[in-house]
Amino acid sequence: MKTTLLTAALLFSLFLALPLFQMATGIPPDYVLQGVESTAGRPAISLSAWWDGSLQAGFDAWINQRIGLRGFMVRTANQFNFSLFRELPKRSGTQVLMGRGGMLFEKVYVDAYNKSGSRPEAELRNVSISTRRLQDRLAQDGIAFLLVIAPSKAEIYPEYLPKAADVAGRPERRSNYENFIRILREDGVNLVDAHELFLEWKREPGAPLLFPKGGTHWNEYGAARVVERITERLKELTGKDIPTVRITGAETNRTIVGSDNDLGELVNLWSGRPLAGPQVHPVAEVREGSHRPDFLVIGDSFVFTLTNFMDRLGLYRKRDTYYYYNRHYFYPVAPNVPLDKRQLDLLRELQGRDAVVVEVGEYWLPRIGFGFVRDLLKAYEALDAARAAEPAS
Amino acid sequence: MIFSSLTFLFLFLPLALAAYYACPARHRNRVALAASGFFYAWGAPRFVIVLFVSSLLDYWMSQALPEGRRTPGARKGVLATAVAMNISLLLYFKYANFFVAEWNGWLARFGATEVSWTAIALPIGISFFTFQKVSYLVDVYRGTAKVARNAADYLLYVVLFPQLIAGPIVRYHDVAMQLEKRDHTRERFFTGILRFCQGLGKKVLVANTLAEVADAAFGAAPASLSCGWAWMGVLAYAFQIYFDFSGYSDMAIGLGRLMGIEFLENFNRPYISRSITEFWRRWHISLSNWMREYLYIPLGGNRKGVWRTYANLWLVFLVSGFWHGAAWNFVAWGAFHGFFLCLDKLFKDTRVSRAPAWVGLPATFVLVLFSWVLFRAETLSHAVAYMGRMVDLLAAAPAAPAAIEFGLRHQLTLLAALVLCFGPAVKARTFDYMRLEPANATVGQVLARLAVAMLLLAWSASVLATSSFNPFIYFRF
Repeated sequence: MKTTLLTAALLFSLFLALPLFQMATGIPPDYVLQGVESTAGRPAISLSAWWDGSLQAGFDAWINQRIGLRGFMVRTANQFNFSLFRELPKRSGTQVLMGRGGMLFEKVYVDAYNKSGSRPEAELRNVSISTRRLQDRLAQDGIAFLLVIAPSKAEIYPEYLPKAADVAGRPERRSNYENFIRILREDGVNLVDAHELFLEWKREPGAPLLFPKGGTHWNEYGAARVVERITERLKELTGKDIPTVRITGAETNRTIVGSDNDLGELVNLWSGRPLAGPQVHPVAEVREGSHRPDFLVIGDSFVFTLTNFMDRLGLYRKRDTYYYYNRHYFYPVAPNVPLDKRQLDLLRELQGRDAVVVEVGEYWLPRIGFGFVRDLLKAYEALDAARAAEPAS
Repeated sequence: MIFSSLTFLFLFLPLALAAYYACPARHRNRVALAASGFFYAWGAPRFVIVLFVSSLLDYWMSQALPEGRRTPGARKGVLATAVAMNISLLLYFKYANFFVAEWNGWLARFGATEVSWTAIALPIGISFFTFQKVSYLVDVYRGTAKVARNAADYLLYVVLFPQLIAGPIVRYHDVAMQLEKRDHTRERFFTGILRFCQGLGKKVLVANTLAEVADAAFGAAPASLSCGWAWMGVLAYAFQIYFDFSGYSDMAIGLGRLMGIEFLENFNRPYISRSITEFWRRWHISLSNWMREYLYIPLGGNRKGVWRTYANLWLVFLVSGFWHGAAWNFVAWGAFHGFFLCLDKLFKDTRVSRAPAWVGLPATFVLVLFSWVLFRAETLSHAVAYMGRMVDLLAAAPAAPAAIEFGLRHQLTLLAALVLCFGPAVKARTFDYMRLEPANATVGQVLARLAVAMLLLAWSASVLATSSFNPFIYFRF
């Protein structure tokens, strides 16, 4: 018995000491956690910081992020909760909800689905007019402009929403998208409205899912069909023989690409794979053109499925993406870098471009381009004013 | 620093235990004192000086308290001074804000200018350590304990980290001998492990889960609650407070045992009580003992006639209520319990007191639930409105407020809490599973309990780790 009790004491002590040991040595290796969290910096040690409690609060935040085996502990707690109670973690960050049939949703989109759009008509009209002005100004320089509206999963598949989202009891409402799309059309903004398209494609007989079960963004198949429309529209708008894509079918398998299971991974179970479900991939044909274009793309997190698919098919010779108009991604591949807007010469960036494509998720409407439209219009106004001030020669 | 934090579990505790056991036995009190000082200074740096200086003053004054050291009058005077000093600190830090706010309320009613006042922060654990300090002074005065061997021993009694923040309230004479000499046995260490893990599980897995339901119910406007949800909210709170508080006591008792110290029990299945009197013999036992020994008996207890007994009882409970918090609802909570305790006494040895368990137990529990409304509500008027919903059986029942989430995790946790709280009324021994004396157990029994304890520890630690992880799906800048 004495040996058993000694073993118990050692086991308990080892358990308490293991996270500290792992933190110091990295042994045993820990699980990696998915998702982005703001990093708590090492707290500054000073008497005043201790006295006012900021040292302790800072240290707690720091150690909570760095304690050894954190990844294992977080995933274990999440797995227990999921396996025992079918519950996903509640967080102040991105909150994931499980809907009917195991379909995952981001809570903000579910909340938005149940609310009316709050943006006043005048604001929507102003944004639409600015966008149309930019479209016209770009056209003067021979650059096509196209606005792509990415749909919200909750809007396209409300029948999969969690019961608690009270789909049936949702009050009559008009979303920002519904109010805005009418204005954009009235003002003649070049559009690919994927919200409308998805609802139409969803109704096709035997239509595959356009969003993945475990992801918040359109799947590769849905994005590819949007690319089909984008290339057709750009061919028409540029008047150039650029490559176009035709989606001839869909293939369902278990291969996860891109953001197909981003919510499933964010839940941080021991494995996110079971939440992913089968994936739908496009069968595509490229119709080569005589001109390989150069695009500038501005978009949110939906943009990557589009550009990854287009990159893979080699539809252009060059493509730059401004992610949320804050970070610069390149094609052909180069490391992405923060976008330094003070140094950014937008007019130079436009040189040699065939088209500017702005993608925006309907959740963000009317924030078209996240400031890009405003800045480029300003740059054009400054240029035009300078030209007007030049003495006639 | 709280026990249910990663900093405590995986930094403070292993380092403190390692330092404690790495030292020769004669230095262990110093290690325990240093660790406890650090523990308190970490959580309440501004008050560490108040705690240590007032404790040193206690120790200094206690030298004059034993019989024969001074004249009886001088001894009484020193005791009164020392007790007054400690109670004044408690009154100042815990109640000054309340009294000033009340006073300003009255001034405002008469259109007078309010007193300007900067709110005072509450030193952590002051309610508990003040009572412990008074216990030492009175015990030494009464001769039930000797003056502490040295200032370090007395400081250790006051600041010993397992019981410093949330009790149990340790009476000096209960631990005086252990502070001087104690045995560090494997059996005690093992039962300490079981007790600590059990307490951590109660706090993290049960209390924190039910707190989500209780907070939502008490956070909602009472008018938005149906009768059923009002009861659900207070039921969740009743279990939350029990598993939270008794879990903390379990952790304290377990930590004490890990350091070779035995604290007295603080809870004994209070919800199976058949009367309010019995409830107070089972709930927060260390407070009841303290109140009886250092307030009720000095007031005359039951030795001065029936009416004085009732008055003493009621006064003790009013003080107890006020001790729990500086607000009128806590006073009302104390008055409520005092009233039903007096009724218990009034009907003692009558048919009422001999009611069968199936009547006494639910009746007592319902009374306790009503009292928890007073305890949990933000204000007295909130409590009254909440109780109004509980008794409004015929009112149109609004749907459950959207804020109340009552998923499978909450439902199963509530069920587990019900079984753990009321199961012992049917079969007590089954629920003694973790109260194992290794001397009377087989190796298999020890290992099984250890496995349960480690599972609770791992699960609780995992839940604590996940509470600090709030990631976003992508950077959005």
